[in-house]
Amino acid sequence: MERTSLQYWSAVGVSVAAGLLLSAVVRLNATLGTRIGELEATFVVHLVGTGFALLIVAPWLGSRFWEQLGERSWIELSGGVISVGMVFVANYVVPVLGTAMAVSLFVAGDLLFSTISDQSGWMDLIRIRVSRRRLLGILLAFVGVLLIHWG
Amino acid sequence: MFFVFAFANGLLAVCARVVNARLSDHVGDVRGSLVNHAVGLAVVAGLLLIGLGGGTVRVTGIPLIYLSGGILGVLVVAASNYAVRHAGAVLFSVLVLAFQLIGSALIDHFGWLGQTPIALSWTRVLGLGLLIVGAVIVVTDREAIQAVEGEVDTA
Repeated sequence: MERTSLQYWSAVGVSVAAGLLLSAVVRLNATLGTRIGELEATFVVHLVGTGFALLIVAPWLGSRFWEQLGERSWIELSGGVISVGMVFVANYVVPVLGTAMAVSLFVAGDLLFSTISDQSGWMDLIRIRVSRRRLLGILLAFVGVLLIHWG
Repeated sequence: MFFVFAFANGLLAVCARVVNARLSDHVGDVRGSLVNHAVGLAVVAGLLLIGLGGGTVRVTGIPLIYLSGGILGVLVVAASNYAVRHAGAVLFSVLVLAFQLIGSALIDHFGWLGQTPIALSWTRVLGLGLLIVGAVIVVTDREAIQAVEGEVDTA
């Protein structure tokens, strides 16, 4: 198997694993939030995550890493800020719209902007044209989400 | 207005994945996840320090399993960094959606993680089926696979 194909199918595998992990993450974090408060839970989640990630990568955090980090633009470092912003927006809209509506709109936005991102190659990442087949897959997935949340 | 915010949260999710993937292109997938969590930690700590929240963070008496979300979160962000760079944002979004909802359905159905069991309805099974068919169509899109190979060849 060519290296590119191997990377593509590895990406498929890790995406499947990430989805399964995320179903547990959402429940665990939500339960923690009900016990100690939403913002406090977000703090604990990030604290535990930072500690765990540090343990894994500690041997590879030499001066080269800090140099590389210093060369990156502030936008590339903003992922953590955006993630916290998402928690706030979700806490703001879910009580008003209800989970089904909020999740449906979130998924619609996610799929639309992922498509735009791939089509235009945001941040110089991989560029993938939206074919009719791909559009059909995205639409079927969205209808599936609607059925799950409204059925 | 709330509808716009809920929709815009999807944009935020994509932005977070894309900027993290771009960063990990330079520092590596797990180190990119570390930076994401450390920056998030600094932001939340700042918000707690200015008085948003209850005033104290008390985790005594909380079962350890409920503190493990951060560990799994690191793995999810690292996976996102790898997948978005090598197969695109749509593929990651669709597969994560499909398998997150399959995992949630299993957790609900069997009452795992301390949840009250909720039996799967037929509409939910049909929805999961459509989601899986949609994901398979996206994953096996030959044009996309060729585009990915083309990007690497010309890089």
